[in-house]
Amino acid sequence: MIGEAVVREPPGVELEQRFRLFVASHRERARRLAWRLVGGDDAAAEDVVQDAFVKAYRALDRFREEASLATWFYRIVVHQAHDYCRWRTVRETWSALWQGKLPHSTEQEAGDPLLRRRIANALTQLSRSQREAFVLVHLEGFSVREAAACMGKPEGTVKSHLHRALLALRSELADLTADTEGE
Amino acid sequence: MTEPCDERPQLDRIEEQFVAHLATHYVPKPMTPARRVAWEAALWARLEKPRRRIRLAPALITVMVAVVVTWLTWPRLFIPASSGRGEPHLSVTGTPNLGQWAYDLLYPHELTGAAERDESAILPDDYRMIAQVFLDR
Repeated sequence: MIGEAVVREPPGVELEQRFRLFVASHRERARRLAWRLVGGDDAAAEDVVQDAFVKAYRALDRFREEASLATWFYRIVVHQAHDYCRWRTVRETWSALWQGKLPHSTEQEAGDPLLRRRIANALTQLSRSQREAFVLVHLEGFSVREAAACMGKPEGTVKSHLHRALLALRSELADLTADTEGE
Repeated sequence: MTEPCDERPQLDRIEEQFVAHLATHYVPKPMTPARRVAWEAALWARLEKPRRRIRLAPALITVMVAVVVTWLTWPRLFIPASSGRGEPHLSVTGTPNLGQWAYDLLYPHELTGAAERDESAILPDDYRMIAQVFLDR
C-alpha cells in the first residue's frame, strides 16, 4: 500500500537524489496524514512533515530495514504529529494562564470549515492511539498491519482502537451518520 | 508492503458511508505551487545545513572537571568569608569533630567567649537528659 518505488532504487544513485524522489512521492500523503493528526492546521502539518523528513534523512544510517522505508518514515510522521500536539497543548495552557485567551490559530478556513472543525474536535476527543489508528486506517487507507507498524503496536490492539474510535465518532457525529444513511 | 493476509476492518454499509463522509470532508487543500516551492526550499536548506550535534556526555564531563579543578585550586572560594572584625572564624576545612560541633551549637556562648549562664532550669527534662548523655554535663 505504502509506495515502495523509492526503496528499491537502482544501486549507485546518489542518496540525495533518492531522497528527493522519496520526498516527492510521499510529501502529499505525509502532509495529509499530519494535517489530519494535528487537527486540520495547514502550517502545523507542513512543519510536522518537514521535521519528519529532516529526521528521516539524518537517521537513514540507523534504518535497519525491519520495516519498509516508507513505514519507518510514516512512523516518524505520526510521532512528530504527536509531539506537535503535546507542545501545542502546553503552549495553549500557558497562554490561557498568562493571557486568559487561546493563541490565534493559523488554520485556513475554506470549504466547509464548520464541518471540518467538528470532525477535528471529535478526533481530538479520542485517545491518541484511537485517533492515530482511525486516521491511518480509515482516512488514509493503511492496512491494519501497516498502521500497527507505524504506531508500534500489535495488530489486535490497533483493531480494538479502530472499533472504539468508530463507535465514539459515530456517537459524537451522530447527525453525520443520519445524513449518510439518507444518501 | 501490503500482503494478501493484511486485513482491513469489516464495516457495514452505514459505517462505510460514515467513514467515507469523514474522509471526503476532512481533507486539506493541496499546497499551492508557490507554497510547495518555498516548503521544498526550506526543507533542502535544512538538510544541507551541517548538523550541530551537542554531545552531552563530553560536555558534562568537561563541566565536572572544571568544577573539581576550581574547587581544588581555590578552596577559599568555598569557605565563608570572615567579616574581619575579630569574630571567631569557623572553617569547614578544619578537622571535623562532630562532638565539638554539637557542643558549639548547643552552647554558643562558649564559642564566642560570653559568660556562661546556667539555663538548665528553664530547659525541658528531655533536653537535660540528652545533654547529660552526650555532653557529659
